[in-house]
Amino acid sequence: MKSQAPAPGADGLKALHLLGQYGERPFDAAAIERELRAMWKSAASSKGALYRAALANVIVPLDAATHAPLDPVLVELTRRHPSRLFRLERAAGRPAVAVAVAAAPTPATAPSLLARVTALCHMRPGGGGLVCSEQIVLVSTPAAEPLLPSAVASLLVGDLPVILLRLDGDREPESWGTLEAIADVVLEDSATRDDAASMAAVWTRIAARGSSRSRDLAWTRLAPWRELLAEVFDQPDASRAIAGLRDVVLHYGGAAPPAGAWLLAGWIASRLGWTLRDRHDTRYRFDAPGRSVTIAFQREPDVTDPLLVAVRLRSGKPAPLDVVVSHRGRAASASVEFVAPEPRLLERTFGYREFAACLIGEIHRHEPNAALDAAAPVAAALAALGSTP
Amino acid sequence: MTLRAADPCTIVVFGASGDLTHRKLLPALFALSREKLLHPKSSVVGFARRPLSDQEFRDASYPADPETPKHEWQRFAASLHYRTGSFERTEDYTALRAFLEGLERERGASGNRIYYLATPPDAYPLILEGLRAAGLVHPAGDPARWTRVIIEKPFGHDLASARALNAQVHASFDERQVFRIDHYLGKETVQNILVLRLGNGIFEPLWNNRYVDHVQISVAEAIGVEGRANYFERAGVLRDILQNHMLQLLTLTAMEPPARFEADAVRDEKVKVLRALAPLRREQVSERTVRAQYAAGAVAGGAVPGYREEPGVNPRSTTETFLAAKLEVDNWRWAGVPFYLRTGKRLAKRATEITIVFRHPPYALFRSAGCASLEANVLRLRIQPDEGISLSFGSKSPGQSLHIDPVRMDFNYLTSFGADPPEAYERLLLDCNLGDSTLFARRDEVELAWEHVDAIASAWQTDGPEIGSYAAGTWGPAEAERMLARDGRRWYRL
Repeated sequence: MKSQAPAPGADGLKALHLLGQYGERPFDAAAIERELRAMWKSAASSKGALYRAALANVIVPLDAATHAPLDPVLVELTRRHPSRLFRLERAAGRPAVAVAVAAAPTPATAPSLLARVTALCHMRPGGGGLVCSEQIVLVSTPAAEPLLPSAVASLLVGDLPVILLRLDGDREPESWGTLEAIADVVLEDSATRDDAASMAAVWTRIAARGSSRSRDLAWTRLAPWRELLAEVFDQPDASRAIAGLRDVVLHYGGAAPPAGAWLLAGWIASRLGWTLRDRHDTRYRFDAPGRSVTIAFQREPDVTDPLLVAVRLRSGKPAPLDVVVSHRGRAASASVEFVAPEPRLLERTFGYREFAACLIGEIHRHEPNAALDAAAPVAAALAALGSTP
Repeated sequence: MTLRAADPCTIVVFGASGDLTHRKLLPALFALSREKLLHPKSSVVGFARRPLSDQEFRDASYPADPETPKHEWQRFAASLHYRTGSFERTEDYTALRAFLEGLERERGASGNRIYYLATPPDAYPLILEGLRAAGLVHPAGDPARWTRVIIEKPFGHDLASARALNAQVHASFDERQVFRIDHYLGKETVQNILVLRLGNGIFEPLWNNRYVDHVQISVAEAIGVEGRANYFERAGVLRDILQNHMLQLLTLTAMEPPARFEADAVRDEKVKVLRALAPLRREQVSERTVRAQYAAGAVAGGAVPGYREEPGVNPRSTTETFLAAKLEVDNWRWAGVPFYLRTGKRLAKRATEITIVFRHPPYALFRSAGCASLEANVLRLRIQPDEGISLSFGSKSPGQSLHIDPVRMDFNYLTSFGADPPEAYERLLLDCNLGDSTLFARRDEVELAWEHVDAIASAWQTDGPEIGSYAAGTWGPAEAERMLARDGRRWYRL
C-alpha cells in the first residue's frame, strides 16, 4: 500500500491522502472487494487512526472534458460527505493523468472493462487521524459501456443511498440510462449544457422524475438570486408592486441565455402564477391576472462567462417599481438599485456557493422541492420557444 | 471463552478429489493446524475414486496463497494421506479400516474419527452402509474413542427422502454423532445473531411484534448454476437455498432465548420456530410467493446467458432461479410480523443479509416541522460479504433549520478487529472435533424444514404462480416488488 503526501495544487486537494492504488486490472467484483478488504486490513494495522467512512454511494460518469474541473470537486465532496465514489471513465477519451496511476495496458489492447481502487483520505479537523472514502474507478471501452451499470451495481454499499451525478447526460451512452434505475437521487446540471434545447431536456426529465428524486445544480446555484429577489419584495414599497409587475429583463453573459436565467424566469413566472402565452420577438409573453407580462433576456457583450448578471423588474401604476439586482462572478455581495419609486442603492450579501457545496446541499435534501417542481416545466417551455432573436 | 483442546482424530474426507475438499475443507483444516487448533496427532485421509498417491494429493492441496509459510504447510502436509477406493466396494472400506488403524497406531492417535461426506448426495447411502459394514463406526458413548459423521447439504430432496436418509444414518450413527452441516451457520455474523440479541441489553426488549414491523432475509447470488445444472434443475432455489440456509437464518432470528447456550437447548428453540411457521395454504401460494428464472443480462460487468441457455439446462425448464416468499411465525412474539424471504441467482451482487425493520414511532412529532416522512429504523445483519452490522436512525442535520437525515452506526469485523473472521468451515470442523453440534442441524429441524418446502413445491405444481422472468443483473422480477408493495413495504437494497 502506498500513502501519498498531501498533493499540491487546487485548494480542494491540499488535505488529500491516497491509500491503495493497487493498479488497474480487468474488472472483477470479487477481486475489488478483496482489494478493498486488504487495503483496510493493512490500514488497520498501520500507525495512526484511520477511519473508513461512507454516507452514500456516489456515481460519477466522467467525460474527458469534465474530468479535470471535477477532480477537486469530488475530493471536496469526499471530505465533507465521505462516500464510496464510483468514477466511470471512458477509455477512448480518458486523460493521461488517469492512465498514469498504474502501468495499465493501452486502451487498444486492454480488456474492455478495467478497474482500480484507492481511498481518498482527509485529515480530520484538528488532526487525530484520517477519514477515508473508497474510490472505485471503472474504465470502459465503448464496447463495454453497456456492462458498466452491472459492474457498479455489484459494488454498491447496500444500505446507503445511491447518488448519480449526471453532468454530461446528453453525451453519455444510452445504455448508462440504466444507472438511473439504481439511483435514489439523480443530480444533473443544466448549466453544463450548451443550448436551450438540451437544457430543456434536463428540466423535462426533472419534471418527470419529480424533485424528490432529481435535482438540477443550476437551480441550486440560483438560491442566492432567489433569496435576493424575495428580499426586494420584502421592502414596503416593492411589496405593493408585485401584483402590478409587467416587465422582467434578465441580463446574462456569454453567447446565449444560461441555464440559470431560464430557471429564474421559470421561478418568477411560476411563483407569481403567470401563464406562458407565446414569444414575440425577444420577449416572452405571459398572462397574469388582469394584465399581460413580459420576460426578456438581454445579452451583456462585456461579460464572456455564461452567467446571469442582473435582473430588472418593473411595474406600473398604482405602485410603480423599477429595480435592478446585479451580481458578478463569485463576489460576496450584490447590489440592489431602486430606480423607482425612490432611487437608492443597497448592498446585500450574496451567498455564493462553490460547486461542491451545492452538491452536498442537494445530497442532504430529502424533501421534494416544490419551487423547482413548479419552475422546471416553465423553464423548459420557455427554452423550447428558443432565444434567438 | 477459551477453547477446549481438540482431541486427536482422523478426518476421513469422502469425495476428496472434489471441488469442496480443495476449495474449502483442506484450507480450513490447514488454517486450524496453523492456529494449533488441530491436535498434532490428527490426520486427514482423502478417499475418492480418482487414483492419486499421497504426494499427488498433497501437491493438489497446496494453497494458492503465495505467502503460505512453507514450514507450516510441510508440517500439515505430513498428516495428509489419500486412499483410492470406490464408494460401492465393501473391500475398499475394509482396506480403509486397516489403513486407518495402522495410521492411528503410527501417530499414537486414539481412534477418534470424523467421516466427512463431501460427495454428491446419491453417494451418501453407499458410504454410510460401507462404513457400517466395515465396522468403521464406533458406538456413541464409547469412552475410549468417538466417531462422528459430517453430512453436507442437500439432506434429501424432499421430506420423504430426508426421512429415508435419516433412517439410514441412524442405522449406523446415534443422533449425537451426526453433524448435518450448513456452512452458513459457521459464519461469524450468523453466530453473532444470538450474541447481538441475547448478549446485549438493548436489542432483545425490542425483538418482537411490538417494535418490529417486518423482517427481510435475502440471499443473493451473482453466479449462475456454474456446472451444477444437473443438480440445480432438480432442486431450484427452493430446495437449494430456502430449505436450509434461509430457514436456518429465520430460526436464529425468530427463536426464543434458550435456557442454556448448549446444542440441544439452542436447537430445541429453533425447532419451535419451525413448528410455529405457518404453512402456506394452497390458496395463499400465488399471493405469497413469487418464482422466476433469469433471462440474459449483465452481471458484475459481464454479459451472461439466460438460465435456459445454460449448458445442461432443459431449454423448457421451469426450475426457479429466484423466489420470494412471505412467511409468518405464529407465536406470541411474532404474530403479525411478516418475514419476507428472497433468494436468487444472477442477481445484481452477492450478498446475504437479515434486515430488521422497526415500526415508526406512534406519533409523528416532527411532521409539523416539515419532516413528513421519516425513514424507519433498520438493523441490518450483513452475513456476506463484508460481514458486519449496521443500525440506521434519523438524526437532525447540523444547522438552524430542522432537517432529519438518516444516518447509520456501522460495525464491520475487518475495521473493528483488524482481521477477517475465520472461514465458516474452520469453525464448523473445529466444533465437530470438539463434539459441539450447536451450529449443525438436527434431524427434526431438517425434516420440519422439508415439510414447509414440500408444501410450497406441491402448491406450485397445482396452484402456484406462473414462473416469471427477470433480467440477469437485476434484483429479480417486478412481481417480487409488487408482493411487498401490496403490504405498503419495499425490499431493502443489498
